[in-house]
Amino acid sequence: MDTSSLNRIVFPIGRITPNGVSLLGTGFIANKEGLIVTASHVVNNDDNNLVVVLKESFANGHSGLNVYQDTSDLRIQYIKASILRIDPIHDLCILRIPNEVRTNIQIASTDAISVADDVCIAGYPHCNMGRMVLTYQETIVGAKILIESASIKTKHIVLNIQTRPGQSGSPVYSKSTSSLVAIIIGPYVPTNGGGGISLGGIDPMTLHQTTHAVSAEYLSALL
Amino acid sequence: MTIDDFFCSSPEVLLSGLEDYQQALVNELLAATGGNYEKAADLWLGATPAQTVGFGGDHSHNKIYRDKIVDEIEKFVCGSDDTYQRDRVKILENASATQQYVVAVLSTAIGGNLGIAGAFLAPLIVLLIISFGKISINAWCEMRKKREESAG
Repeated sequence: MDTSSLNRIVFPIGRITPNGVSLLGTGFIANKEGLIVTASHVVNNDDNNLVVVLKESFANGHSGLNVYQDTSDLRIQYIKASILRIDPIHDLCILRIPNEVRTNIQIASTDAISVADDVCIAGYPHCNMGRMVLTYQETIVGAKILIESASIKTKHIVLNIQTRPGQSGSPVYSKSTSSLVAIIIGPYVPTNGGGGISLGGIDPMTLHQTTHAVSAEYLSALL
Repeated sequence: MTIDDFFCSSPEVLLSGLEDYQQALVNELLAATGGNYEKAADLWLGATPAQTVGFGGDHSHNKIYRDKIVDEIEKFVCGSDDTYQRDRVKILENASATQQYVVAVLSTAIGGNLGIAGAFLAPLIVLLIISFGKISINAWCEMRKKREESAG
C-alpha cells in the first residue's frame, strides 16, 4: 500500500458555521471527476454550507503523510461541496466539488477479501473535536456480517480495531491489492444496551475493537 | 407534463422520475414492505445500520417526519401559501417538463425550505405522492383542506 499520496486523496468533510468550519467526518476522492465519497450520516442529508477541507500544509503540496503534521497549525483551505447522491440504507453519500480531481482507485467489494486478510484505513480520527491529523491504520478483517438497515440486509465487515468519531467515511483498502473494499460507518453498539452516556464527550459503549465498514460494492450504483 | 399530470400518473411513471440508483433502492424497500408506499417512505426516513453508531456528522437537525413532508407537498401543489410560487411557475413555464424535471424541482424546492438535500427527498416525495392514490390535485387539496378544518 502506497501511503505517500493518501494526503491528496483523503480529506475531512466539514460545515461552515458562524464559529468557523466544524469538522464532521472523513471523505475521499472517487474514480469519477469531482466526486467525493463519504458516509451519509456524516452530512446528515444536509448540504448547506458543506465543505471539503484541506490542511494548508497538504494543499501546498510540500508534505505527504511521512512528515510531522503540526497539530498547532490550524490553517485550512476548503472547497464548497454539495450532495449529488445519497443512499441512507447503505449509509453512503457522493459529494460533488467544482474541481477536476479524480483517482484511479479500483472499487471492489467485501466479497474480494477474507476473514484474517490485512486491510488499511486512512482517516481523520477525532476531527469532530478539531484535531486534524490524517492517520493511517492497519488491521485485519475479523468477520463478515450482514447488518439490517430499513429492513434490508447489507454486507459489512468487522474490523478488529478501535476507531473514533471523525473516521466515518474513511476508505478501507485491501493491503494486498490496494483496491477499495469498504467504507467505515462506525462501531458496534448493542441495540438495547442503553448507551447514550457521555463521559467527557466519549460514549463508553464505543470503546472496543469492533468497527463496522460497509462493502464498497454499493458505491457502484452511485458513481 | 404539468404538475397535475404528474400527480395523477401511475406508480411506474412516478418512479421513473427518480435516478436509477434511487429506483433500485425504492424497489428494495417496496419488496421489504409488501408494496406499502407509506411504510417504504418511513423506512427511507429512518434508515440507519442496526447496532452501529455513526462516527461522524452533526446531529443538530430535528428528526423529519413523513407528515412534515406531506405538509410541504401540499404547500407546493395546492399553493396554500406563496412559499413555492416561483418553483410552481418554473414547472408551468417548461412545456417539455419530464417527470424527472418535476421531481427535481419539487425535491430541490422543498429540500431548500427544510434544509434537506433534494437527493434525499426525491424518493420520499415520489413514494408519498404514489401513496395518495391516482387523484387530481384539486381533489387532493380539497381533501386536505377538509381534513384540516375537521381537525380544528
